[in-house]
Amino acid sequence: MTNKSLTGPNRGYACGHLYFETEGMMDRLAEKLGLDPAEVRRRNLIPPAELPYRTPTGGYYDSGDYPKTLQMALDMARYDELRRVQKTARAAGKYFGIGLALAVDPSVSNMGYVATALDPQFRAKPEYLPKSGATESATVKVDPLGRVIAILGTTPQGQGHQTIVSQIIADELGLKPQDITVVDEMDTFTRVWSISSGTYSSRFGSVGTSAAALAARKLRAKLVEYAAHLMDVPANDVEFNDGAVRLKRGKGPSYTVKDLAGRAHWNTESLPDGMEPGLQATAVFGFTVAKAVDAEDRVNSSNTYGFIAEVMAVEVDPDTAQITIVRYVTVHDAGTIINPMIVEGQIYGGALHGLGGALYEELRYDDDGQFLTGSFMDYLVPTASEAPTIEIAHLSSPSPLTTLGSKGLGESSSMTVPAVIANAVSDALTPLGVRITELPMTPDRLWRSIREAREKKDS
Amino acid sequence: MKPPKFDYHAPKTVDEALALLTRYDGEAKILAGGQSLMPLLNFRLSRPAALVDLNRIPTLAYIKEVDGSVRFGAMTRQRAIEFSPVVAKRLPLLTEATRWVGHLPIRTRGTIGGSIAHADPSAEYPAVLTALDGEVVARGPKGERVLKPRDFFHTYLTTSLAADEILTEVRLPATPAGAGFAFEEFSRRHGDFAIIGIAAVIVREGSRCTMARLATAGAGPIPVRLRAAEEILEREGLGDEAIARAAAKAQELVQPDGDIHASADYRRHLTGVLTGRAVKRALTKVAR
Repeated sequence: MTNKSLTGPNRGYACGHLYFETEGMMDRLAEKLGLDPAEVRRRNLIPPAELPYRTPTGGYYDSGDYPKTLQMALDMARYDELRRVQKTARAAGKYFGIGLALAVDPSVSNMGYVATALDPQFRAKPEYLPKSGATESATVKVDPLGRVIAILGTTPQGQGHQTIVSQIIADELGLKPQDITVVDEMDTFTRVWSISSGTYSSRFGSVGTSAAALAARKLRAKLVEYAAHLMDVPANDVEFNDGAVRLKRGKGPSYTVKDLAGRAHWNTESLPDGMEPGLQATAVFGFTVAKAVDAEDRVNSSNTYGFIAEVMAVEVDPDTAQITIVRYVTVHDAGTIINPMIVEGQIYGGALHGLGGALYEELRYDDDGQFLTGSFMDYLVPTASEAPTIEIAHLSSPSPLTTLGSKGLGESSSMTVPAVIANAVSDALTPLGVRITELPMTPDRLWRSIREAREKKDS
Repeated sequence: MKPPKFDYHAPKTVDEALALLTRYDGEAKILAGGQSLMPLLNFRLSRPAALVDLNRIPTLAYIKEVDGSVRFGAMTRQRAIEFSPVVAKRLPLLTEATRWVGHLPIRTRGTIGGSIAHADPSAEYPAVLTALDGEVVARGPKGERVLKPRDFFHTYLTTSLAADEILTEVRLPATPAGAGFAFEEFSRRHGDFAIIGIAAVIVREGSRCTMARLATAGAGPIPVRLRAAEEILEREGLGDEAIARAAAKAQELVQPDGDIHASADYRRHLTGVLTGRAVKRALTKVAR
């Protein structure tokens, strides 16, 4: 029995813990081998020629160039120069450290992974029903007034679904984003939905955008077919351009979306034989790589996989245990980027979220189990004042699996910052032999580690 | 949360305010800048029957020089102090300490009287008042009392102000021209209350330290004047060794409590570290 809080998924679901350990191991390996931490990582990365890559546990990494992503981060951070700065700082008795963290950034979980909680013998029984899949739906319609409306089955909490869907539909239909109305609400009675629907697991940038683009393309094909019928030419002779259907060659009439909407809704007789009345299209996008867990417990637990490479330099004040972030570089490969500003916002938010876990956020209890951090006066989160300068760059290896080549990025650096700052602080405190094995690194905890290391050194 | 129900009064004069306090007989709280009281009300940690708001009493906000000291009306905003030329000239330590108070929006509302009357030992102004051995003026139905910090601060959030008294003025002796000063602070995040803060003023003549003033924020239930550490500097001068001895002494003089943000050991350690740093930085500002 406990009256302590239960744990649950948070941004970067369990990845922050995982990469804190694996990236810490890479540094220990580097130390043991006498190699630079960047070199150990470089030697162990999956080469781009091996992608798509099947991992031993069943993961299917769709695209990427991991060595290039790492190199971009090292170049941006001027890694070699940072190492020289470190040498000088150490000689002057300062504690300056450089940390690295690399991470595969998974998005869109495959419902198949939940069955790993059941043992293979149970799953082998005939009455067991396997699970798999990752889908999302979108509807695009043109009403009799010519208004283009996209209807989603997701309810974002600030991720910008309206913004990016209006961009995508506008691109597909040759309109302007402000011409598109996006309805981003969810009601299981009125929306097309399925088991995996929703805004989580960095899904929308990957699966949601795919459904929206596919729905727009279906609608566009219908508009083209209808306009060709009105012009009495084969559909191959016309093209959709700048919000209107025109002849590819030669002079003739052109039909705008608004024009076609009025005609199609007011005069269904004008439709070609066999065409369904109305101007709307619904697409449900699903990943074929989302398969059920196999007999050996292997499963492709997500569907698209981005990549992150980060470098952070810190200085640690050994007397107060204050950590100062001197440089922080983060390079992301999330395939096709649909809206750079939203992506940047996600990286900022993710990085700060990660910083919270690394330095501040903690549920504390006293010896009697009384909860001590029940308000934001006591449960500290980083604010704008704690935000370091974040240098961001992108590489784009489009996903072969999504309609637009995009991957999710919403959780992003929340996974890597705990690892990169812990590695940087450990590197800074190498002369004292302090290695960070516990988060958050509160000043009190860090000071204790430093004090113990100094006492050990003196004795 | 929202605060519990309370009566609200906005008197125009101190006498009216005092009459209200008498009327509520200990059940009213005084509202100054509200930067501590409002959160306490919203958390329902404080449930007064009435608030007596001093913000409509114009005579309570002023900064003036009188006989070698600077007098502050209790309702003088921290932001006004931060930019006051008189304070910058006569009390540069206070100017520096003010920059550590919360964040800009907090300082535009927060007042010197409110901060000192609230008596949070980790706040900056109580430390400055203690280091400079200033005075506070308390006005009640029977007249005025002038109190020294040692007679004013009792323990956490508790002072010798009676329920029917209002802190009306804070008096700080001007720092001698050419004195060095520093306010050092360590907090978890920018704008948080100090885990430890140290206020320092140093007067040097030749190689001698003729006056040292040191006080803490965050090192126990009230701000601590580090007199024995000051004496080391006044006796032994301002060399590195003397400063190190003063810093070690400072650490011995405090008995901080531990909380979720910092253990007592860490606070004691920081008291020493920051005392040393404050004295050294104050020295860099001594006029040559």
